[in-house]
Amino acid sequence: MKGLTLIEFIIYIAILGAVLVLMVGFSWNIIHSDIKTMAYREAQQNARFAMERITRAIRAGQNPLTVFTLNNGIIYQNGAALTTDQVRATGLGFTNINNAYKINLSIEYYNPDNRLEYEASVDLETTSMPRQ
Amino acid sequence: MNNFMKFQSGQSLIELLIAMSIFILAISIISFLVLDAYVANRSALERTQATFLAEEGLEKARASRDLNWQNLVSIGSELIDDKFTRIVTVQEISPNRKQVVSQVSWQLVENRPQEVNLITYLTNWQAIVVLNCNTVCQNNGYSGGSCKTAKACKGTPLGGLGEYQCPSNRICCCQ
Repeated sequence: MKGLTLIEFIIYIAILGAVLVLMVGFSWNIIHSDIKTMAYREAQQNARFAMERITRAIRAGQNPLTVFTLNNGIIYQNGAALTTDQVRATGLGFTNINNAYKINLSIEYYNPDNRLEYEASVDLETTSMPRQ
Repeated sequence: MNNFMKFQSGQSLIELLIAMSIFILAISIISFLVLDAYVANRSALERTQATFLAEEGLEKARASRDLNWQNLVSIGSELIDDKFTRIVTVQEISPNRKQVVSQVSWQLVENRPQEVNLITYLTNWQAIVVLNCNTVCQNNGYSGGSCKTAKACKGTPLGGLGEYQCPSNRICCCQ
């Protein structure tokens, strides 16, 4: 009865192996979803901040077409960057309706290698008009 | 010795079962948390989108106010991006004041409805409001007032002669 038989040892290794494989796969899932959450948050915060600045500028009576520029995926307000270099703005559109502006903004996480876990994009839309 | 062996093997089976159930419990709790974090994140994103859409609804109402006060009425439901439904409800509070509620609703997942409500009050500031003596006094914290000659006024006079719909030789006297 002393010591392990070969069969017992093999079963032991098999169970340990199965548990380890499960645990590693599971940890990967957690790490990936953490990365994805981070990417989403970054895109979201940037989009919200830029949108807030744009609506305020329009309310203050500024012309968004001259104040806001999109250059290499970064949004600038009078030359100062509004978004970080961790994200890229893929679209910034102003549609003039009477004296109001409809704003369409798309921001995605900078992901040059097209890796699935870093994919995150945010689309926002609103309308703002000058306060009289 | 024989009895002891039997006891030993029985206990290890129970141990195995307990260990497995603890493991499964821990795994399911963690996977629930991970899934929930993801859903919470998506919910935050959609809430941001919905808030901006609701603000757009209020801006529309503001535009109607500036163009034509009479045109400031409820807007029926609009479907945006095949996902968000916006309803702008306008309710008249008083002739020159309206309450505007911009409601955006959507489904986070099936059967999990979410909504964002923005409420504001708009005033027809372009309306020419004729202030009479009594209202002016009430707006200034008095119980009321009437037009009297300067001599007869025992209260506090507001404005000059002939102001606030008073005849030209009377002043507005608040009580």
